Amino acid sequence: MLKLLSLEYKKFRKNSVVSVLALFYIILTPTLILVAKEIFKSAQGMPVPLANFFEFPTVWDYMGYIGNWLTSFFLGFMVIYMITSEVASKTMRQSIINGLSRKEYFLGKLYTIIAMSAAATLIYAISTVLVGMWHTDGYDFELIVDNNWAMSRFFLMCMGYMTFAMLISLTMRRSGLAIFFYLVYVMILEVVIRYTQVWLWPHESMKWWPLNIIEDLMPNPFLKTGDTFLSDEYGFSMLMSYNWAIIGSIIYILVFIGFSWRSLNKRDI
Amino acid sequence: MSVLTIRNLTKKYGKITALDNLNLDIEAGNIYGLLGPNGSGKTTTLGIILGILSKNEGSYEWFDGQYGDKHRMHIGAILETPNFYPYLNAVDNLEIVARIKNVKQSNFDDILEQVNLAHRKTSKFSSYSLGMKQRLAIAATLIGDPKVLIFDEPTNGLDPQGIAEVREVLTRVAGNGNTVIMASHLLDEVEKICSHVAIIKNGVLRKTGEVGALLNNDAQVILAAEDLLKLENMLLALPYVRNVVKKDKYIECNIPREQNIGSLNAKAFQENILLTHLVSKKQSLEDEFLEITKEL
Repeated sequence: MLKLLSLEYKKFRKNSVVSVLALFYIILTPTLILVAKEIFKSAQGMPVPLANFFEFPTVWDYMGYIGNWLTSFFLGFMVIYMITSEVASKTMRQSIINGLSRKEYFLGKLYTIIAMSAAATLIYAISTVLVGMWHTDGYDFELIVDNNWAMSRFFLMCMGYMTFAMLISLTMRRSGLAIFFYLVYVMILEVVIRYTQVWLWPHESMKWWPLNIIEDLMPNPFLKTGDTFLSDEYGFSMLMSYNWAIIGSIIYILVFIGFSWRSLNKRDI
Repeated sequence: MSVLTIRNLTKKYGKITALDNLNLDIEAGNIYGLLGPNGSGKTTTLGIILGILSKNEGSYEWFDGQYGDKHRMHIGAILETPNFYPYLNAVDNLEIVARIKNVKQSNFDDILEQVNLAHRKTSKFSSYSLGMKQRLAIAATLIGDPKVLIFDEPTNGLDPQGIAEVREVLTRVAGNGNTVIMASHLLDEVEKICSHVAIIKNGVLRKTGEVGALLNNDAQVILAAEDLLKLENMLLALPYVRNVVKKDKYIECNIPREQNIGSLNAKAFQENILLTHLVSKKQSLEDEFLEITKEL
């Protein structure tokens, strides 16, 4: 495992695309919420409960939702780049020729995704604790860790986005196509599908689309408020409970990994 | 020792049969040329035996199966193009190859020296010329002292200087007692470097054997004289002369390679024929190749 991880590290540590994406992620995670604070400050009289943005325990939710966006963009792109660039430069092919088995090559990518998810979760946790401690008056350890398994949910969310990106990359193989499809699916396509379903068949299963479940691991905190109105209209809550989101996303992550492996294993390289 | 055994290998792309029942045996120490025109199935064969293309039928076995599915660790191979991380330099790229092959090596000066790239070892791969890229690929195949080297069209697309450099390196590598499998459509290259050759056309193995044995044993002789008719009659009467063909201004015929063409001259002089032209042409692999491949 260490051999495969260090191999991936060697391949990409001097790569400018990966470095820039990682740098943006690391800088934006703790700072984006502070930028939001400045914006809200200047927009006087907004009826937003500003304070709980930055205080324990709700800071975990807000930081998590920011992380949701950042992960789906920067880390998703990173995975797509790390796979499709190897297809384009034929180094994937050469790795196999040089002696790696397809399984080892695949595990190298999977371990990297796990390591990146762990690192992103750590960055999220550190940033959140720092922002929270800065803004909360009188906190204790119990208050800090009162977060409904936020770190585990964040880790699963990273795994979800990145294994989905891996599946798209290994299936489409061309970088432009993969990035386009990934973006369109995450941003537009699934939302359109889900709301078409609600329109034709208003049923709770509309929550079970893959990216929605992954998103609901770290949902938009404002939706929690809005959901009370919507659930009256449809007769069910639009948001997944955390428990179901965790179970559902674990299933989807395993499915993404399974199909990714199939795509790499079956086809000519 | 058997290095590679291929049995009844067949590969189809849809309706097109790229490889049809290919059989091949390669022994340790062979410098094996895989010869055939573009699209004849050379790269497909190499792709299958290197594990990146699937096969439809047949089987292949490396090293009598002694390394199981880890056989590629003991092979140094280039397929089609030199494939490296463009943003990394030569040393970083070679380190990645070494790590894959479980070779503990951090100094690649020797290897880079062999392919004349030592002076550019810290330049990014993307800044290399095609010839340099190809030479770096050859360097990468040498890592870990593999039991077999595989080169696929190693001089394809290079300028004359690049070709000369790559060939020089190849000749050196082949001369070190390595087993080499080289695909090429350049006969000259195969003839100069290889000990054995397999000629492939449209996915079918047409002929295989030692390069020397594959060559026709006859030498072609072209003669001319004032009186062509008299010359023709003389040649037809000689027992060792074959395939006499009278052309407009000269006569072509074949004689065994060991036969001295001076004897033809002496005979003609005896018969009062003064030769105005006498040339012996060795049948090259190229003629043989064209003859074999035009049959389809």
